[in-house]
Amino acid sequence: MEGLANLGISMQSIVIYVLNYGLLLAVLSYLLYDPIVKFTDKRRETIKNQLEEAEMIKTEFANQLEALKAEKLETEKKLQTELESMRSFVADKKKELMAEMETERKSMLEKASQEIAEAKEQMVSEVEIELQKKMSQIILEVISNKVPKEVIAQSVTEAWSEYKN
Amino acid sequence: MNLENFISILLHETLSFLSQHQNLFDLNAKDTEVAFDRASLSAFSREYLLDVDSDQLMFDLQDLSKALKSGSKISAKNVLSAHISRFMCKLANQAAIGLDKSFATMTREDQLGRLQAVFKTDNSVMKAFKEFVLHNSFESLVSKVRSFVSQQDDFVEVTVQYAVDVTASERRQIVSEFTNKYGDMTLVYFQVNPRLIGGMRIFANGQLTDLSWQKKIETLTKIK
Repeated sequence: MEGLANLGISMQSIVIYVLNYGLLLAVLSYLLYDPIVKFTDKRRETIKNQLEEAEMIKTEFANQLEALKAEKLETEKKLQTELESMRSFVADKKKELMAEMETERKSMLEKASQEIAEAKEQMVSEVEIELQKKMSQIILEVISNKVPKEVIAQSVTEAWSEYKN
Repeated sequence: MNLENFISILLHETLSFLSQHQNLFDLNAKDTEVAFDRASLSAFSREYLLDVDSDQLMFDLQDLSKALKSGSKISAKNVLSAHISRFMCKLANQAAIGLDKSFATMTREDQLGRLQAVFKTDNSVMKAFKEFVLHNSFESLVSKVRSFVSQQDDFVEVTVQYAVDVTASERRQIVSEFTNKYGDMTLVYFQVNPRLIGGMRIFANGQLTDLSWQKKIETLTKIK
């Protein structure tokens, strides 16, 4: 005790301080503890609710995200299928068109070849006829001017003999 | 002189003879021949009168008269028409044999001389025929004869084309050949066609036989 007194600390003062503190504590506890606890609980509850709500929202968003992802996948899959189908259709159509074009091309080529052949044949035929006429004309011209009358008269007699036989 | 006039003269001769010999169809063959000779009848009248009796004669005259007046077809039973046709074919063929293409360019005197040489008989019928020839070109004569004769079922037309004219003898052979083949109702028409070059071409009874050089050359020069 003396030592405390040498240090300038009074036991009494300490007791008073402790009593003050106890008193202050009691008053504060009585006046502030419950409201603070209530406030804290309420606040905790609010936070908890908000957290739950946030969790719920998060879950909901997650679900929605999943659903969206699934839908997106489904749509993508569907689009892919349609795209494949479209590609297949286009390929088929292309093939069909190509076949048609090929047939048409062949037909046109055949027709053109035929027409060319006919035209060629006609031209050749016309040339042949013309040539034939010219040859006949030349031969007839030569014969009619060069063959003696007696020979022609003889030819008439021979033709008559041939007719009779 | 046209074809109708000539036919009238033919009938006139026949009917004149009948009017002078009304008992002709009762005569025997010998007396008939004597009557024909005395009257100098043409071959036509002789052949016809020997071929018919009085009933046929009446039918023929009526039918021919009707046909000539109205332009109707002559009956197939008409013996007179058949005889006229045959006779005209014979005369036309004789003209075709004896009268070559130079006849058209002759003077009238020369033509008469040539006709006299070809048709020696000089009775009224032949005189009329000579007149008929003188007043018509040969083509016109053939055309008129053809128009009358073509009514006969037996009529056959023959056209002979040759490169150069042949002799009368050859023409006679040709006519003889066709009349033997197709009968007396055959009318042969000769044409000179220098385009044939040589040989001949014959249209007989609708058939063409081309034995001309032109045809032979055309055949030879055919490419195909």
